[in-house]
Amino acid sequence: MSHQSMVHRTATMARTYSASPARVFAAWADPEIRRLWGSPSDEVELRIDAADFRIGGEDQQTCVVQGEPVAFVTGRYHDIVPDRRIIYTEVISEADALLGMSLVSAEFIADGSGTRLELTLQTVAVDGSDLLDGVEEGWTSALDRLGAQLMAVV
Amino acid sequence: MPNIRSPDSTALDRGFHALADATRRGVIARLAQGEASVADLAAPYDMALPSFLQHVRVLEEAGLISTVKTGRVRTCRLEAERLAALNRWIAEYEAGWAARLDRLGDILDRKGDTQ
Repeated sequence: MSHQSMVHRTATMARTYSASPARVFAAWADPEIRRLWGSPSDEVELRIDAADFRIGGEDQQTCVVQGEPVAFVTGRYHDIVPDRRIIYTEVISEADALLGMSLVSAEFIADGSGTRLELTLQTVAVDGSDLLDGVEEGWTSALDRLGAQLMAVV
Repeated sequence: MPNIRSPDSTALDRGFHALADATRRGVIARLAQGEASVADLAAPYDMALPSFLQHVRVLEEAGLISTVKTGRVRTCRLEAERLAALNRWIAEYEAGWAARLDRLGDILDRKGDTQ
């Protein structure tokens, strides 16, 4: 409407896998493997509509729940160093409303015979349409939370 | 690791102060039903407009509402819950990534004997 709200946040997470950096990297590079692990939750099926794993290449993915598309993800690769590093952006939208986007930096570090994966997500969320449907009832709970916070401080 | 520091006391003070007034609570209640112009918000109150604008400014400085001026009309809307909704979205997005990385580990383990 009149103006858009935004929230920014950076998160880091790390995992250590028993597989070599080459195999972990391949799991990101190969869309067939990525389809198997790339869904954000067990309820969501990831459909890969287009995949172009090279610098400047673009991915198109659809998150599908019970046969219905619920979100669209457009990825663009900005830096690829085989077995070492992938930097790309993910734009998440819903119908024609932008929900947010993230700069995803993945680093594959040899760790013995395995791999330490370090992931950094730099995310911005913008107010899309459906996100704000619950504003009215949400406000009540926001006041409740504020009240609880004040009680905790006093 | 979740952030367990106490809430920013300055922001809390502002929020507390902003809600410690019947007029300002009334404005919040009205805005919970949707955006409104300052003139519409002021109408129910027997108050000079500059005084009413002071209340609007207190709410805005507390981050509870935002205002935007289009021509001669200043429109207000609730902000705190909007930002909370955006924060929730990012938290879900990040949780989705954590789930992805765990599933990737499962897949690598399963295929581990092929290489």
